[in-house]
Amino acid sequence: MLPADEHLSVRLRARALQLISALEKAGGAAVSGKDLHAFAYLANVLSPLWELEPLDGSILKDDDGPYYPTLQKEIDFLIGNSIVTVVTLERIKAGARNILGASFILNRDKSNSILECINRLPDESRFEVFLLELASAFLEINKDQRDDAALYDAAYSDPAISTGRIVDFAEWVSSTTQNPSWNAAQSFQQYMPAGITLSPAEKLVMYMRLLKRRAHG
Amino acid sequence: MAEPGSLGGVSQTEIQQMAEAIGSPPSEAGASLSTRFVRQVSSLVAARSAVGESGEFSVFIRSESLISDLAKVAYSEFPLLMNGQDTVSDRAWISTASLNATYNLTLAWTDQASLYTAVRATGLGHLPALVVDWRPARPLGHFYPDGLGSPDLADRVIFEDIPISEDEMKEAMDNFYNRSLRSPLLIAEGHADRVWSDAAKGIPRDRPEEKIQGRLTDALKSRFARHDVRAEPVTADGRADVIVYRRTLSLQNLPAVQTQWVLELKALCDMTSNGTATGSSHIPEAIKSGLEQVVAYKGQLSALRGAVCCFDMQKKDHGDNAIFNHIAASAQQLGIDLWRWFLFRSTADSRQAKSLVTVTK
Repeated sequence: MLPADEHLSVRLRARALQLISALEKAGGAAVSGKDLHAFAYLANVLSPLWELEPLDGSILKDDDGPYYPTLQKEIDFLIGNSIVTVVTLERIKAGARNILGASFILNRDKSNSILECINRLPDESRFEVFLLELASAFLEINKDQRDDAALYDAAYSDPAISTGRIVDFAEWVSSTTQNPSWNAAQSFQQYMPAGITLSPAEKLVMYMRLLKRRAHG
Repeated sequence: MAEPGSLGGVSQTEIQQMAEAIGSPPSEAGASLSTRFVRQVSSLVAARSAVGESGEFSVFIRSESLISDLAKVAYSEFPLLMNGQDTVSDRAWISTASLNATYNLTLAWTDQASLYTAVRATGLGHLPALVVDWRPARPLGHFYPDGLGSPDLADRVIFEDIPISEDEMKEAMDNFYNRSLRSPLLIAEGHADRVWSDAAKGIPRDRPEEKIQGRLTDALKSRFARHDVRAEPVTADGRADVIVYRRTLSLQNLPAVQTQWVLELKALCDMTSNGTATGSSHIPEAIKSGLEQVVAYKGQLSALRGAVCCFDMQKKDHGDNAIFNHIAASAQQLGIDLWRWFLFRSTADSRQAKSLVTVTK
């Protein structure tokens, strides 16, 4: 059995592959690093809509948007092992700093068999379906505004949580009723015509269209 | 920490405005990537038909790994193809499910045979492809889920939003059964929710209709690409299993919905999900109840047609006459179709029933 930290590392590595794969399949290749972190955040905060457990239930609020150092470490590992291929590398502004931003694609020769194994696991196959739905909705947002969409998410943009504090949507609180993003997505039901019960997929798409509208301004 | 029910940085007014702007639930939500692709191409075909596009064939190939797939062929980019302003016939295209990045493949072909051969020769013959035949007055669609390399496996795609006939719906349901349900192997290959708990012993999963419903909805959305399909709409008499409808305008020019089909799904099981035998009256009662439900929902939704769709999971195939005998006259009088498909408990049984081999003595 793997030690706990290695176990988490393997799960994160698997999740990184699933995230990139979903974005690619839905038409988002090559995937930029910033978009990937935004997408990972949205996957965490919205997975309870599909009754799926988020891998991370909280995140540090940053003006530049969500960033997961542990996820980045696993992406670096995947790049180092040629499972993920870097397509572009450029200098980008991040607040006052200049950092290197990469975009990447999966090396399908190596990643396909790994993804097949991952998606054969019952919970993970459901997660794949959820990610494809989320990716399709995420890619409706203009390319240069996708990373901003996470900034406009209900939980992330909660005015009660200032920059530098933790946005907790599933760590120590209920991932449903105390998760503003879940609450906002559920709220769409009350505006539907009589006789229509929204599915989780429909609530997800409608909520993502709200983020799209907010990101597009 | 957010209070229970908190909307964080979003206001209730924003949600209401967004819901009103969207109107009805987004029809693509929950669809598979192939179905999204087919529906996107169908919208494009409708737009091009409306401006009188003519020609012979188009092929649209769906990629899940566009950058790698494009490395195999010569191409030119058409990023605005979805706007419907570019000629699409007599060309081969590759894109992702959303058609948000579309490329015209540089292929040499002169007729349908050489088109299929040319696609296969690029190494893209395993990718899902939708072929549009522009020669008839109304274009015809054939979707190849396993690519042009497997031409025997094709699904028709209806590009029109005119009422769906009984024959068209029956053909769609037959195709769905043959592709997804006929044998346990097909169910597994389709990555569908399994309807059997133990096929060999004839033990179904709990509520097999629900497992069938999701997959069927997706299949119907793909085939009737200009219609909408919805599961579980609520009526005063309960929830209909599946409805097929189209958005239209009323005589007063107001948005309206025309329900074309109500489908009531019934799994006919001689065992419960616990492995105990059901009583002899269980199946006739379930079918009768299905007929009552579909008549009620058809009336509530002012639907044009209705059908009771039975997925027969019993050990023995008793045939349509024996299964429907007790309600056939009523159904005919009420204008409801009674359809049944037998789910084999093993691939060998399924093969045998097709009588592929004739033994002579």
